[in-house]
Amino acid sequence: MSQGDSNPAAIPHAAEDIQGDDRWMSQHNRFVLDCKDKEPDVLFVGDSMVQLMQQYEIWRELFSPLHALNFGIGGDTTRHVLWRLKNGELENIKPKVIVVWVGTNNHENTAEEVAGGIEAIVQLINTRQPQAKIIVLGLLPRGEKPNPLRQKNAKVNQLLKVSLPKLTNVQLLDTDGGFVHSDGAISCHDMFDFLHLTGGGYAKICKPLHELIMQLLEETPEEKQTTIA
Amino acid sequence: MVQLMQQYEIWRELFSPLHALNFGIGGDTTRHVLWRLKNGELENIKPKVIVVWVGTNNHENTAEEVAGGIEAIVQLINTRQPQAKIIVLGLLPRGEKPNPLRQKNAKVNQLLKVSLPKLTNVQLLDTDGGFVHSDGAISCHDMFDFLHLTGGGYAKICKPLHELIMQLLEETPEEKQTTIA
Repeated sequence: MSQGDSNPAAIPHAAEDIQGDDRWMSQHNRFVLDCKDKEPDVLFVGDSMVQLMQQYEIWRELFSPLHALNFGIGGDTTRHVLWRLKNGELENIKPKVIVVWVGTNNHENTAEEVAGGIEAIVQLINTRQPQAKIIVLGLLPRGEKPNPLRQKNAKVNQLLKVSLPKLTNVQLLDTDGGFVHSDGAISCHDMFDFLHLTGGGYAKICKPLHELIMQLLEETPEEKQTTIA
Repeated sequence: MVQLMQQYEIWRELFSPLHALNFGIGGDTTRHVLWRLKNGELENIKPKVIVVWVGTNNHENTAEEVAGGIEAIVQLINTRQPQAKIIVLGLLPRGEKPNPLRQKNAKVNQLLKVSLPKLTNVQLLDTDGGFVHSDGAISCHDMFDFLHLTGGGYAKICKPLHELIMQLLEETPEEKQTTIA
Protein backbone atom coordinates (compact mmCIF):
# COMPACT_ATOMS: atom_id res chain seq x y z
CA MET A 1 0.00 0.00 0.00
CA SER A 2 1.50 3.34 -0.93
CA GLN A 3 1.52 6.09 1.63
CA GLY A 4 1.28 8.94 -0.83
CA ASP A 5 0.33 12.24 0.67
CA SER A 6 -1.97 10.80 3.31
CA ASN A 7 0.83 10.09 5.75
CA PRO A 8 2.93 13.13 6.59
CA ALA A 9 5.69 10.88 7.95
CA ALA A 10 6.06 9.31 4.51
CA ILE A 11 6.62 12.51 2.56
CA PRO A 12 10.31 12.89 1.72
CA HIS A 13 11.77 16.12 3.05
CA ALA A 14 15.28 17.53 3.09
CA ALA A 15 16.38 19.28 6.27
CA GLU A 16 16.59 23.05 6.06
CA ASP A 17 19.78 24.76 7.15
CA ILE A 18 18.43 26.71 10.08
CA GLN A 19 21.64 26.98 12.08
CA GLY A 20 23.77 28.24 9.20
CA ASP A 21 26.53 25.67 8.70
CA ASP A 22 24.67 23.36 6.32
CA ARG A 23 25.84 20.23 8.09
CA TRP A 24 22.92 18.05 7.09
CA MET A 25 23.53 18.57 3.41
CA SER A 26 27.30 18.14 3.90
CA GLN A 27 26.69 14.76 5.50
CA HIS A 28 24.23 13.72 2.79
CA ASN A 29 26.68 14.73 0.05
CA ARG A 30 29.43 12.75 1.69
CA PHE A 31 27.20 9.67 1.74
CA VAL A 32 26.42 10.12 -1.94
CA LEU A 33 30.16 10.28 -2.64
CA ASP A 34 30.67 7.14 -0.55
CA CYS A 35 28.17 5.39 -2.80
CA LYS A 36 30.32 6.22 -5.80
CA ASP A 37 33.61 5.12 -4.23
CA LYS A 38 32.66 2.17 -2.11
CA GLU A 39 31.00 -1.22 -2.42
CA PRO A 40 29.31 -1.93 0.88
CA ASP A 41 27.79 -5.31 1.59
CA VAL A 42 25.89 -3.88 4.52
CA LEU A 43 24.33 -0.44 4.70
CA PHE A 44 23.08 1.20 7.89
CA VAL A 45 20.70 4.12 7.48
CA GLY A 46 18.81 6.19 10.02
CA ASP A 47 19.16 8.78 12.75
CA SER A 48 21.65 9.37 15.59
CA MET A 49 21.12 5.84 16.90
CA VAL A 50 22.80 4.69 13.69
CA GLN A 51 25.29 7.55 13.44
CA LEU A 52 26.67 7.27 16.95
CA MET A 53 27.22 3.54 16.59
CA GLN A 54 30.16 4.23 14.35
CA GLN A 55 31.90 6.27 17.04
CA TYR A 56 32.25 3.30 19.34
CA GLU A 57 34.79 0.50 19.12
CA ILE A 58 31.99 -1.99 18.53
CA TRP A 59 31.54 -0.69 14.99
CA ARG A 60 35.09 -1.51 14.04
CA GLU A 61 34.87 -4.91 15.75
CA LEU A 62 31.56 -6.14 14.38
CA PHE A 63 30.57 -4.16 11.32
CA SER A 64 33.62 -2.73 9.55
CA PRO A 65 34.77 -6.27 8.71
CA LEU A 66 31.46 -6.81 6.95
CA HIS A 67 32.15 -3.83 4.66
CA ALA A 68 29.46 -1.74 6.21
CA LEU A 69 28.69 1.89 5.55
CA ASN A 70 26.97 4.14 8.05
CA PHE A 71 24.49 6.67 6.67
CA GLY A 72 23.08 7.88 9.96
CA ILE A 73 22.36 11.56 10.62
CA GLY A 74 21.45 12.74 14.10
CA GLY A 75 17.98 14.22 14.39
CA ASP A 76 16.64 12.60 11.25
CA THR A 77 13.01 11.53 10.95
CA THR A 78 11.49 9.07 8.48
CA ARG A 79 10.94 12.01 6.10
CA HIS A 80 14.65 12.88 6.05
CA VAL A 81 15.71 9.28 5.49
CA LEU A 82 13.20 8.91 2.66
CA TRP A 83 14.54 12.04 0.98
CA ARG A 84 18.15 10.90 1.31
CA LEU A 85 17.45 7.45 -0.05
CA LYS A 86 15.62 8.94 -3.02
CA ASN A 87 18.39 11.42 -3.69
CA GLY A 88 21.54 9.42 -4.15
CA GLU A 89 22.16 7.32 -1.09
CA LEU A 90 21.07 4.14 -2.84
CA GLU A 91 22.88 4.84 -6.11
CA ASN A 92 25.84 2.85 -7.43
CA ILE A 93 25.78 0.34 -4.60
CA LYS A 94 24.33 -3.12 -4.20
CA PRO A 95 24.39 -4.05 -0.52
CA LYS A 96 23.21 -7.48 0.56
CA VAL A 97 21.76 -6.23 3.82
CA ILE A 98 20.30 -2.84 4.71
CA VAL A 99 19.68 -1.95 8.35
CA VAL A 100 17.07 0.73 8.97
CA TRP A 101 16.79 2.46 12.34
CA VAL A 102 14.70 5.63 12.46
CA GLY A 103 11.50 6.96 13.99
CA THR A 104 12.34 8.12 17.50
CA ASN A 105 12.67 11.74 16.31
CA ASN A 106 9.27 11.85 14.54
CA HIS A 107 7.79 14.05 17.25
CA GLU A 108 5.12 15.56 15.01
CA ASN A 109 3.70 12.22 13.99
CA THR A 110 1.51 9.60 15.61
CA ALA A 111 2.74 6.07 16.13
CA GLU A 112 0.67 4.98 13.13
CA GLU A 113 2.27 7.62 10.94
CA VAL A 114 5.77 6.72 12.11
CA ALA A 115 5.20 3.04 11.37
CA GLY A 116 3.85 4.07 7.97
CA GLY A 117 6.95 6.15 7.34
CA ILE A 118 9.18 3.19 8.12
CA GLU A 119 7.09 0.99 5.81
CA ALA A 120 7.50 3.57 3.06
CA ILE A 121 11.27 3.38 3.53
CA VAL A 122 11.14 -0.41 3.25
CA GLN A 123 9.07 -0.21 0.08
CA LEU A 124 11.42 2.34 -1.45
CA ILE A 125 14.38 0.06 -0.72
CA ASN A 126 12.50 -2.91 -2.18
CA THR A 127 12.13 -0.96 -5.41
CA ARG A 128 15.65 0.44 -5.68
CA GLN A 129 17.52 -2.47 -4.08
CA PRO A 130 15.42 -5.58 -4.70
CA GLN A 131 18.28 -7.87 -3.75
CA ALA A 132 18.78 -6.34 -0.31
CA LYS A 133 17.50 -8.02 2.80
CA ILE A 134 16.22 -5.39 5.17
CA ILE A 135 16.45 -5.37 8.94
CA VAL A 136 14.29 -2.79 10.67
CA LEU A 137 15.39 -2.16 14.23
CA GLY A 138 12.64 -1.53 16.76
CA LEU A 139 12.55 1.86 18.46
CA LEU A 140 14.11 1.81 21.90
CA PRO A 141 12.47 3.06 25.07
CA ARG A 142 13.68 6.51 26.12
CA GLY A 143 13.62 8.82 29.10
CA GLU A 144 14.74 7.98 32.60
CA LYS A 145 11.25 7.07 33.81
CA PRO A 146 8.04 5.90 32.12
CA ASN A 147 6.70 8.61 29.82
CA PRO A 148 4.47 8.95 26.72
CA LEU A 149 7.35 8.56 24.28
CA ARG A 150 8.04 5.08 25.59
CA GLN A 151 4.46 4.12 24.89
CA LYS A 152 4.59 5.71 21.48
CA ASN A 153 7.80 3.94 20.48
CA ALA A 154 6.43 0.62 21.76
CA LYS A 155 3.27 1.21 19.73
CA VAL A 156 5.34 1.79 16.59
CA ASN A 157 7.09 -1.52 17.20
CA GLN A 158 3.78 -3.32 17.72
CA LEU A 159 2.42 -1.92 14.46
CA LEU A 160 5.56 -2.92 12.59
CA LYS A 161 5.36 -6.42 14.02
CA VAL A 162 2.05 -6.78 12.20
CA SER A 163 2.79 -4.85 9.02
CA LEU A 164 6.36 -5.78 8.13
CA PRO A 165 5.66 -9.49 7.54
CA LYS A 166 3.39 -8.38 4.72
CA LEU A 167 6.23 -6.61 2.95
CA THR A 168 9.09 -8.13 1.00
CA ASN A 169 12.54 -9.13 2.18
CA VAL A 170 12.26 -7.42 5.54
CA GLN A 171 12.22 -8.39 9.18
CA LEU A 172 11.85 -6.54 12.42
CA LEU A 173 14.56 -6.88 15.05
CA ASP A 174 12.85 -5.68 18.18
CA THR A 175 15.67 -5.99 20.67
CA ASP A 176 14.62 -4.71 24.02
CA GLY A 177 18.17 -4.68 25.35
CA GLY A 178 16.77 -5.03 28.83
CA PHE A 179 17.18 -1.30 29.25
CA VAL A 180 14.06 -0.80 31.32
CA HIS A 181 14.58 -2.10 34.83
CA SER A 182 11.93 -3.55 37.09
CA ASP A 183 11.29 -0.14 38.63
CA GLY A 184 10.67 1.31 35.18
CA ALA A 185 13.94 3.24 35.13
CA ILE A 186 16.56 3.39 32.41
CA SER A 187 20.14 3.74 33.55
CA CYS A 188 22.55 6.38 32.29
CA HIS A 189 25.06 3.54 32.02
CA ASP A 190 23.02 2.26 29.08
CA MET A 191 21.81 5.61 27.71
CA PHE A 192 24.02 8.51 28.79
CA ASP A 193 21.28 11.06 28.22
CA PHE A 194 18.39 8.61 28.46
CA LEU A 195 18.14 8.52 24.67
CA HIS A 196 21.56 7.85 23.16
CA LEU A 197 23.35 4.60 23.91
CA THR A 198 26.66 4.23 25.65
CA GLY A 199 29.21 1.71 24.39
CA GLY A 200 27.74 -0.81 26.80
CA GLY A 201 24.23 -0.05 25.62
CA TYR A 202 25.23 -0.56 22.00
CA ALA A 203 26.84 -3.88 22.82
CA LYS A 204 23.48 -5.20 23.98
CA ILE A 205 21.82 -4.23 20.71
CA CYS A 206 24.66 -5.03 18.36
CA LYS A 207 25.16 -8.60 19.45
CA PRO A 208 21.79 -9.89 18.17
CA LEU A 209 21.96 -7.48 15.24
CA HIS A 210 25.35 -8.80 14.19
CA GLU A 211 24.14 -12.37 14.46
CA LEU A 212 21.16 -11.65 12.26
CA ILE A 213 23.27 -9.85 9.67
CA MET A 214 25.72 -12.75 9.54
CA GLN A 215 22.81 -15.12 9.05
CA LEU A 216 21.41 -13.06 6.18
CA LEU A 217 24.82 -12.67 4.57
CA GLU A 218 25.34 -16.42 4.64
CA GLU A 219 22.02 -16.96 2.96
CA THR A 220 22.95 -14.67 0.09
CA PRO A 221 24.45 -16.50 -2.88
CA GLU A 222 27.82 -15.11 -3.94
CA GLU A 223 27.32 -13.20 -7.14
CA LYS A 224 29.90 -12.53 -9.75
CA GLN A 225 30.15 -8.76 -9.79
CA THR A 226 31.48 -6.89 -12.76
CA THR A 227 34.03 -4.40 -11.57
CA ILE A 228 32.72 -0.85 -11.62
CA ALA A 229 35.12 1.08 -13.89
CA MET B 1 31.00 18.86 23.42
CA VAL B 2 31.48 18.10 27.11
CA GLN B 3 28.89 15.34 27.36
CA LEU B 4 30.15 13.25 24.46
CA MET B 5 33.72 13.37 25.74
CA GLN B 6 32.78 10.92 28.47
CA GLN B 7 31.67 8.35 25.92
CA TYR B 8 35.13 7.94 24.46
CA GLU B 9 38.01 5.97 25.93
CA ILE B 10 40.00 9.17 26.35
CA TRP B 11 37.84 10.18 29.28
CA ARG B 12 38.71 7.08 31.21
CA GLU B 13 42.39 7.45 30.28
CA LEU B 14 42.92 11.10 31.04
CA PHE B 15 40.16 12.45 33.27
CA SER B 16 38.64 9.67 35.37
CA PRO B 17 41.97 9.29 37.22
CA LEU B 18 41.70 12.96 38.17
CA HIS B 19 38.34 12.28 39.84
CA ALA B 20 36.46 14.24 37.26
CA LEU B 21 32.71 14.62 36.89
CA ASN B 22 31.02 15.38 33.60
CA PHE B 23 28.00 17.68 33.72
CA GLY B 24 27.53 18.13 30.02
CA ILE B 25 24.06 18.11 28.43
CA GLY B 26 23.72 18.04 24.66
CA GLY B 27 22.10 21.12 23.17
CA ASP B 28 22.72 23.34 26.16
CA THR B 29 23.31 27.05 25.78
CA THR B 30 24.93 29.43 28.27
CA ARG B 31 21.45 30.01 29.72
CA HIS B 32 20.92 26.34 30.48
CA VAL B 33 24.34 25.99 32.08
CA LEU B 34 23.78 29.10 34.21
CA TRP B 35 20.48 27.71 35.44
CA ARG B 36 21.98 24.33 36.27
CA LEU B 37 24.90 25.84 38.15
CA LYS B 38 22.55 28.04 40.14
CA ASN B 39 20.25 25.12 40.92
CA GLY B 40 22.38 22.50 42.61
CA GLU B 41 25.23 21.55 40.33
CA LEU B 42 27.76 23.45 42.41
CA GLU B 43 26.47 22.30 45.78
CA ASN B 44 28.30 20.04 48.19
CA ILE B 45 31.43 19.84 46.07
CA LYS B 46 34.73 21.67 46.10
CA PRO B 47 36.52 21.01 42.84
CA LYS B 48 39.99 22.40 42.31
CA VAL B 49 39.47 22.90 38.60
CA ILE B 50 36.29 23.60 36.65
CA VAL B 51 36.28 23.27 32.86
CA VAL B 52 33.59 25.23 31.03
CA TRP B 53 32.75 24.52 27.40
CA VAL B 54 29.53 26.02 26.08
CA GLY B 55 28.32 28.57 23.53
CA THR B 56 28.16 26.83 20.18
CA ASN B 57 24.40 26.22 20.58
CA ASN B 58 23.53 29.85 21.37
CA HIS B 59 21.95 30.34 17.97
CA GLU B 60 19.69 33.19 19.08
CA ASN B 61 22.53 35.27 20.41
CA THR B 62 25.23 37.43 18.92
CA ALA B 63 28.89 36.66 19.51
CA GLU B 64 29.00 39.48 22.07
CA GLU B 65 26.06 38.02 23.95
CA VAL B 66 27.54 34.54 23.92
CA ALA B 67 30.84 35.81 25.30
CA GLY B 68 28.88 37.68 27.95
CA GLY B 69 27.01 34.51 28.85
CA ILE B 70 30.27 32.65 29.33
CA GLU B 71 31.60 35.50 31.46
CA ALA B 72 28.48 35.32 33.60
CA ILE B 73 29.13 31.61 34.13
CA VAL B 74 32.69 32.36 35.21
CA GLN B 75 31.53 35.03 37.63
CA LEU B 76 28.91 32.70 39.10
CA ILE B 77 31.56 30.05 39.65
CA ASN B 78 33.89 32.63 41.23
CA THR B 79 31.15 33.40 43.74
CA ARG B 80 30.09 29.86 44.57
CA GLN B 81 33.48 28.14 44.17
CA PRO B 82 36.10 30.78 44.93
CA GLN B 83 38.82 28.16 45.24
CA ALA B 84 38.26 26.70 41.79
CA LYS B 85 40.52 27.49 38.89
CA ILE B 86 38.46 27.82 35.75
CA ILE B 87 39.41 26.75 32.26
CA VAL B 88 37.15 28.08 29.52
CA LEU B 89 37.52 26.14 26.29
CA GLY B 90 37.29 28.14 23.09
CA LEU B 91 34.46 27.35 20.70
CA LEU B 92 35.50 25.09 17.86
CA PRO B 93 34.93 25.79 14.19
CA ARG B 94 31.98 23.86 12.73
CA GLY B 95 30.47 22.91 9.40
CA GLU B 96 32.28 21.20 6.56
CA LYS B 97 33.13 24.43 4.75
CA PRO B 98 33.54 28.07 5.79
CA ASN B 99 30.24 29.47 7.03
CA PRO B 100 28.89 32.23 9.30
CA LEU B 101 28.94 30.06 12.42
CA ARG B 102 32.68 29.63 12.14
CA GLN B 103 33.11 33.37 12.12
CA LYS B 104 30.74 33.74 15.03
CA ASN B 105 32.50 31.14 17.17
CA ALA B 106 35.88 32.68 16.34
CA LYS B 107 34.50 36.08 17.33
CA VAL B 108 33.36 34.70 20.68
CA ASN B 109 36.88 33.39 21.27
CA GLN B 110 38.42 36.74 20.34
CA LEU B 111 36.14 38.55 22.77
CA LEU B 112 36.93 36.09 25.54
CA LYS B 113 40.64 36.49 24.92
CA VAL B 114 40.20 40.15 25.89
CA SER B 115 37.62 39.83 28.64
CA LEU B 116 38.64 36.73 30.59
CA PRO B 117 42.01 38.09 31.79
CA LYS B 118 40.03 40.76 33.63
CA LEU B 119 38.15 38.12 35.63
CA THR B 120 39.41 36.02 38.52
CA ASN B 121 40.98 32.59 38.49
CA VAL B 122 40.16 31.87 34.86
CA GLN B 123 41.99 31.25 31.64
CA LEU B 124 40.98 30.60 28.06
CA LEU B 125 42.23 27.49 26.34
CA ASP B 126 41.68 28.25 22.70
CA THR B 127 42.84 25.00 21.13
CA ASP B 128 42.39 25.11 17.42
CA GLY B 129 43.00 21.40 17.02
CA GLY B 130 44.07 22.05 13.48
CA PHE B 131 40.63 21.00 12.39
CA VAL B 132 40.35 23.46 9.53
CA HIS B 133 42.53 22.37 6.62
CA SER B 134 44.22 24.65 4.14
CA ASP B 135 41.24 24.39 1.80
CA GLY B 136 38.94 25.55 4.58
CA ALA B 137 37.39 22.11 5.02
CA ILE B 138 36.83 20.17 8.22
CA SER B 139 37.13 16.41 7.96
CA CYS B 140 34.51 13.97 9.17
CA HIS B 141 37.42 12.04 10.68
CA ASP B 142 37.73 14.86 13.22
CA MET B 143 34.04 15.81 13.47
CA PHE B 144 31.74 13.01 12.39
CA ASP B 145 28.86 15.37 11.67
CA PHE B 146 30.99 18.49 11.25
CA LEU B 147 30.12 19.57 14.79
CA HIS B 148 30.70 16.71 17.22
CA LEU B 149 34.19 15.32 17.68
CA THR B 150 35.30 11.79 16.92
CA GLY B 151 37.64 10.01 19.31
CA GLY B 152 40.53 11.28 17.22
CA GLY B 153 39.19 14.80 17.30
CA TYR B 154 38.85 14.71 21.08
CA ALA B 155 42.43 13.49 21.42
CA LYS B 156 43.67 16.68 19.77
CA ILE B 157 41.76 18.85 22.24
CA CYS B 158 42.20 16.72 25.34
CA LYS B 159 45.98 16.56 25.23
CA PRO B 160 46.57 20.29 25.86
CA LEU B 161 43.53 20.39 28.14
CA HIS B 162 44.87 17.56 30.27
CA GLU B 163 48.27 19.20 30.50
CA LEU B 164 46.74 22.45 31.67
CA ILE B 165 44.55 20.71 34.24
CA MET B 166 47.55 18.81 35.61
CA GLN B 167 49.44 22.07 35.89
CA LEU B 168 46.60 23.74 37.79
CA LEU B 169 46.12 20.74 40.08
CA GLU B 170 49.80 20.77 40.98
CA GLU B 171 49.61 24.42 41.86
CA THR B 172 46.76 23.80 44.32
CA PRO B 173 47.87 23.26 47.91
CA GLU B 174 46.51 20.04 49.44
CA GLU B 175 43.79 20.87 51.93
CA LYS B 176 42.70 18.81 54.87
CA GLN B 177 39.08 17.98 54.18
CA THR B 178 36.67 16.96 56.91
CA THR B 179 34.68 13.93 55.83
CA ILE B 180 31.09 14.77 54.95
CA ALA B 181 28.95 12.67 57.32
